[in-house]
Amino acid sequence: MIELIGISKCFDKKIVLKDITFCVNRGEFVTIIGKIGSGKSTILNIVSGLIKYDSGELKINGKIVKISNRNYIKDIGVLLSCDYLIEEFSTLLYWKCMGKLLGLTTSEINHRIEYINYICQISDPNIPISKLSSGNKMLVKIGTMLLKEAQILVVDEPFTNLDINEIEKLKEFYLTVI
Amino acid sequence: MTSHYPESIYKISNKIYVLDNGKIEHNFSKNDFQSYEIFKLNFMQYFNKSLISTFN
Repeated sequence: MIELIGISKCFDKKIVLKDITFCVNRGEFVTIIGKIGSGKSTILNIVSGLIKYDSGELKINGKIVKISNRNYIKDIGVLLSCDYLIEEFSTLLYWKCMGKLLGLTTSEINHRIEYINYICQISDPNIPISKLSSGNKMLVKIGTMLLKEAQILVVDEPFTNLDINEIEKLKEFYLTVI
Repeated sequence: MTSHYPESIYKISNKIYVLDNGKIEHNFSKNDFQSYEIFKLNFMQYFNKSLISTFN
């Protein structure tokens, strides 16, 4: 369970979040929508432990968490909207490298990749990521998010730059995951 | 894209929060409605009235 209680955040004296309060219960899929600059990504970055909040409380499974206490992020899988894939790598090589960075053993990585391949069904996981479609690149990001067995998934702009068929495929995926 | 986007939102979400200028302006929860159809209808009415320009 995620609880945001009166969370506020400023960037350079500009207030970007004002007294945000809501909770996400186990098994729920919560969507945050709004105009550009309304604070959506800031909320997701705070929940993911990427930036700190100025006031209020963030609780994960009943425990107050702060940027200085980052143990909780092991339970969170994150998909960011920015470009961070190493496109010269194949999907499989990228996942193996990310698995190592996450501290997984080779056996754990292979086991997770087997599961992720089944879920994501990348068209060709052996070719460079640069040659994949936008939809397949999004699936590579999703696979990376799923490398660790996270209890909480935080996904920023999951449908950006995708065509209708790719959106349908991903919609089915999210319905499967939840 | 604009016509497809709201469906992508309400179909997969239990709750929808609408942010504006750093504050939650509106929220929809499936549990607050008698049925999925009413939830969908309410969200679509709000989307078409207040949000459609956001996605244009």
